[in-house]
Parts: sequence; C-alpha cells; structure tokens
Amino acid sequence: MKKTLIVFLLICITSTAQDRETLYLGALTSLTEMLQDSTKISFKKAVMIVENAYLHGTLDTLAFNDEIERLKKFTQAIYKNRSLLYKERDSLEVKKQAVLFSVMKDTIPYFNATGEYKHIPFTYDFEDIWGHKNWENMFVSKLLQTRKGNCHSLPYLYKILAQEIGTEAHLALAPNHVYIKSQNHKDGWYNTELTSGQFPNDAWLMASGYVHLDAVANKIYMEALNDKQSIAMCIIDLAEGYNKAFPANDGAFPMLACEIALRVYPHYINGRILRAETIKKILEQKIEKEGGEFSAKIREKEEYKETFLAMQHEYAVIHHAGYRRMPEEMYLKWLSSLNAEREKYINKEITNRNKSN
Amino acid sequence: MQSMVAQVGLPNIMPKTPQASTFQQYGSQNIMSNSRPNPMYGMSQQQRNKAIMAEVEMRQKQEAEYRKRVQGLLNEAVSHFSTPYSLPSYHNEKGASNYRKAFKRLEEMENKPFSVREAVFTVENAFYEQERDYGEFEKVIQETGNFIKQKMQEFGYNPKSNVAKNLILFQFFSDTLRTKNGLKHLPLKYDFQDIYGKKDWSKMFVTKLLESSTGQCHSLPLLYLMLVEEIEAVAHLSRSPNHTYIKFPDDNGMKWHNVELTSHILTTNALILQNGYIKAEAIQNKLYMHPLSKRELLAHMYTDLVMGYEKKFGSDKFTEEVTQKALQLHPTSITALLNKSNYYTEMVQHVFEQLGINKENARQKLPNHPEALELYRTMVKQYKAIDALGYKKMPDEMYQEWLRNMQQQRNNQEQKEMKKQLNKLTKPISKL
Repeated sequence: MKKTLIVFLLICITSTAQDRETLYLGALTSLTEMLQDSTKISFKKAVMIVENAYLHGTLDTLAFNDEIERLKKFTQAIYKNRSLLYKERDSLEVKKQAVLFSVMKDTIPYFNATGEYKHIPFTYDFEDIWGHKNWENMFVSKLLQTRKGNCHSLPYLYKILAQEIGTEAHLALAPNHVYIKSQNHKDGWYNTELTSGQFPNDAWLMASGYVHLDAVANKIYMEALNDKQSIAMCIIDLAEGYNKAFPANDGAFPMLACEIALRVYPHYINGRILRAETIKKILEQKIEKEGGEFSAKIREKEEYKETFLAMQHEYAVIHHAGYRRMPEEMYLKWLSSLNAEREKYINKEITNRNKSN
Repeated sequence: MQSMVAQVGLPNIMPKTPQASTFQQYGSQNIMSNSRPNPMYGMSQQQRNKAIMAEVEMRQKQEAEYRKRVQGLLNEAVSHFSTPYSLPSYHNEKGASNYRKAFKRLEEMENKPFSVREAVFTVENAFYEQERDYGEFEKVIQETGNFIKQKMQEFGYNPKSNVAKNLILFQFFSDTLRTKNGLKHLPLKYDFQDIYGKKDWSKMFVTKLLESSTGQCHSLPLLYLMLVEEIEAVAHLSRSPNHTYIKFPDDNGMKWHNVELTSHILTTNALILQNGYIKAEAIQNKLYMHPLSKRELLAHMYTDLVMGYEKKFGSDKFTEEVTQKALQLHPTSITALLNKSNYYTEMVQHVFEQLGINKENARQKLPNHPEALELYRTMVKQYKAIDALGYKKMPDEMYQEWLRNMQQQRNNQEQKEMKKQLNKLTKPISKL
C-alpha cells in the first residue's frame, strides 16, 4: 500500500515537472517570437509569461490584467485632474510620467460611487531583496498582491503602466539594480528610482563603488534600453527562474535562452554572467560524471580544453567590460545613500518640478 | 528617434599608445564580437559552422546599422553647411592675418608628430600679434624640463617609470622643490580671478602662467603636457564639464590616474562625477573623462585658436573654417560643437535682423525666406545633436562650487592658504 502511494506520488511529481518543463519551453518560444517580430512586443505579456512559467501555470492572469487595468484607469483619472509647472512643448508627455510616478509612490485619496478610499503606494520590500529565499519575491504579480516590491518588480511595473498609458519609459541597469530612464525636452535623459521614490542624478548611479568607468563607457550600465532589449531581459529572467525551478538541470535550457537573449542584447551583463556560469556548470557536470575533479588542471586535458578556455574567456570579457560583483550589504548601503546624501545625488530640477500639482 | 540617437555610441578613437589599448580593447562593439558561439550546445560541426556564419552575418548587420546611426548623427553635427548668408568679415582687421598664419601652421602639424609646446605657442602668439619669441618660450620649457629631470634624479625615482615621471610633474606643480645646486621652484597656484578669461583672454595662456606662476584649468594641464614631452612621459588631456585635467596610465597600462592641477590633488573618477553634470551618455559618447589622443589634442588647439579670434574680433567665415577642422579631427569635441552652435546662433540673429524677422512675425515672414529657414533649422539640429550626445550645461556657480569641493580634499595644513584663495572668490567674478 505504502509502496503504491510512493510510486503514485513519484508519477505525480514527474508529470508536473514535465508540465513545467513544457511550460518553460513554450514561454521561451513566445518570448523569442516577440524578438523576431512575429508577434507584437508587449512587455506586460512577457512579464506574465515569465512569472506564469515559474508558477506552474497558475498565475492568475485575469487578476493581473484587471489590476493593471485598474491602475491604468486610476492614472488616467489623476492625469485629467492635475496640472504641472513644466510648460515646455512636451508637457503632456512629462505629465504622464509625473502622474505615473505619483501612482507608484504616493498615497492618494480618492472617491468613487461607494465612498472614500485611499490609494496605497508601492513600497520597497527589504526582505529577501534578490529572491534568494523565494524567487517569487522578484515578481510583479507579488508586487501587485502585496504592494511591496524590489528593484526588479517596481521598475517593471512602471514600464508596464507606462506602456498602458501610452508613454515611453526605458529600463536601465546599475550593478544588481534596475531603474527607469525617461527623457524630456528640457532636461534630456533623467532617472527615476522607484525603490526610494527619488530622481537621482547619474553621479549616484556611478557612486556605488562597483561601477567601473569602462562599464559605463561600454554601456554595461546606464543605457536606456529599448523594447527588444527589455524582452531579452525577460528571457534571462526566465532562465534564472528555470534554474531555481530545476536546480539540477543540464544547462541546455539556460544556454539556449542566453543565446537568444544575447543575440538582440549582446552586452547584457546578466546574460553574459548567466552564460558563463552555465558553461561552468555543464563542464562541472561532465567532469563529475566522468569521475574527475574540477580544478585548473583540467585545462591540460584535451577533451575539456576548448570548453574551459571558452569559460575562461567569458569571465575575462565580463571582467574587462568593467563588471564587478557587488555584495548585498554594499548594495543596501548604496540604496540608502540616496536619502542620506540628497544634496549630492538628487536631480533637483526634476524633483522640484514633480512636487507641484 | 530621440531615444535611438541618444543611445548611439561613437567609434573608439583612442590614442595609439600601448597604455591606452586596455581601454580600446573592450569597447561595446568588441564585446559583441567577443561573444563566441558556445561549443557546448550539442551541434554537429556543420550545424555549428552554419550557426557561426549566421551569427557573424547578424552581427555585421547590427554593426552596419549601428555605424549608420552614428554616422547620421555625426554628419548632421559635422556637416559643412553652405548658406548664402555670412557674418561681417574681420579679414582685413589689423592682426587677423596672424590668425590665418597660425591656422596654417597648425594644419602643417596635422600629419606628423607635433610638439604641444609649439602648437600652444602658435595659438597664443597669434593673440599676442606675433610679438613673443618662440626661442625664449622654448628655453623656459626646456630649462624647466631639465630642472624636473634633475630633481627626479635627486629623489632617486626610477627614470623609466611613467608613474614616477608623472609624480615628479605633479610635485613640480604642487610642491616647493629645491635642487642641490640651489635652484628653487614654488608651486603653481590657481588664479581665481577671471577664470574664463572674460576680461582678459590671455589669462588662459601658458605664457601668462609662466610669467605669473598662476594659472587655471586650461593653462595648467597644457603646461603639464609640454613638460611631459620634455621628460618623455605619457599623459593625456581629459575633459569634464567646463574643465580639463590630466589622465596618465600606470606602468602596466592597466589603470588610469587623474591629476587635478587646479587644487593639486589626485582625483578619483567618483569625485569628478560628483559635479553632477556628467551624464552616462556623455561618457558613452566620450565627451568627457576620456583621454584625448594627439589628434584630438590638435583639435583642442583649433578650438583655442578660434576662441581667441572671437575674443579679439568676433565670428566670421574663419570661425567656421577652423571649427570645421577641429570637428574633422575630433567629431565629439564638445567645445568645437558648442562653438559651432554659437556660430550658427550668431548667424541666425544677424540674418533675422537684416531681414526684419523677429519673434512676433517669424511665423509669417520666415517661409518667404527659405534659406533663412534652412539656416534656422541647421541651428536647431546642431543643438539637438549636442543634447543627444549627453551634454548638459554646467552653470558657473556649480562649477566653482565643485572646484571648491575639490580644494577641500586637500589636507588641513593647506587650509589657511585655501581660505585665502576662497576669500578672493568673494570678489565679483565675471560670468561666462
């Protein structure tokens, strides 16, 4: 009796695992289609696909869409009732961004047919900021449910909503970090930081101590990313989720995902790192299978040589491009420096303009 | 379109020194081409070759597109624009011929290794109406070079090390040095009066620096580069908003050091960035914080020449010709780009005035003058190109505040001296 139960359970697990695997392949296909222009690029859809794959296909897409729709309508309603100090000819676009920022970061009282309500802003979740304990902490769906997010989900939501209300917001990278770049007629490019709700200048983004000048010059960081590059980011998110879902995988899926993503965004640092680590993982698995030990010595063996050199090359390129690994502690210190050293790092023009309504 | 333009990087135009090659090697294009197909991904040799071919093709296409975008942007900024209008010419003014001679002299330097000393002197002497003697100037620089070499020997510095050579130069600028045979040299101080040479353009000159032992962010680095030539060191001029400073590579060619000669400190990149007016795009497009090659340095000389001409006479065809030359050598020279947009602005003002066009009637009148309209459009394009490259104007107050901030980085013993200098700052300084 007991035995049959175990067998039954095993079948269940393998079958769900297979489903999830299929789900992941399907997700990668859908995202690739967006890159190939065979389907329309939708960042919202891409994010949902990624999260759904990790959640065994249980993402409540209706609720997700409804909430985005509700936020969109809410943003549009505020848009109608607000005026801005900014009077350049692109003031309507700037107003969209200002209102969107407000919806993300401000508490806003509002009335509807059933009474008075308060719109609760989205805040930063200091628990498990990089999703090490629970990968779902990175998700926009988690942010929508709990109103708490991180430097991944917050800018993603901003970008989704920007698309919904018809304005442009670009994702941009800093070490272990994502933020928003927008531009207006008067100031050119400026930054929106959603973890703390500030408009930092570029000096702050370079101040973490982990941004090598070369990394900026090489566009590893601080580049305003276009839509395809953003989808490439989703593909790497997908592959990282896959690694969390199947820790013992053979590396084929993440490898494929990296190749696809790096094709449109060749200098995407997280993609480069994931590819290097995947090559390493595959090599380790191969050596382990053959009873060997992973050390510098394997370079001497003909059968491993090529892969080893490829791996080494990957890491060297990443290093020389200016990438430096940033520990979590330093990251949090850097995030808080934005509030601690406002004088130095706040873009005053944008901040003052946004205050007025 | 705007966003596309702003992301565009520019071809790497780095100096051809071995030290610089570490930077050159890892430009964003290189990263793309460094990406090799993964040998792990279970394919047959044939499939693999095919995949490689496809990838190479794709990359080539990407690069071609990228080049096209960059070129388009640059063409707009650099293009020579012919217009039936011109500003009143100063061709026959007394002294203008000195500038034409200097321009010719600089052009001769273009295709061979040139001496910074000679180039700078040429520019300055045009302003002084050829009244200065090059032999004398040369002698001062050479003697200074010898003094530095002697001091270097006395200190027992490694005569082959580029870091040692730059260190002694740094000490020459910031410390009091005495040689055993009784020669003494005092630090070269920052001159807080008229820092942009508004009242007196010769304030910007190395000649003035040598005569008064005080200079500013324009003359100090140029003297440094002349002395670099004397003692055969390697160092480059580098730009930040409203400012120039020195960058030199270490002996392994792995790391760059920054020397700030106005406040006598070795600066970190973070400190330079703290001025808050350097956008990531400006770094990506190598407007700032990028070591200028010799060619780009010559472009810098052209912009200096043109600015002197403007102070002395004003803008005319000569301004355009020299600026064009500067942009040929250094398409992202922010000074040349700004000079060019100022030139067009002046031209637009002049033409509009002559045609009786003003703000109120522009809408009706301008369409009747297609050439004036075209001129106006060119001016607007010029400003757009500069914005897209990531330029942001740094107000004078902010620049001075940033300079002061750097001064504060010095140690406490120098505080008194610094305060004295700060007191000078309270006196009115003309705005640029």
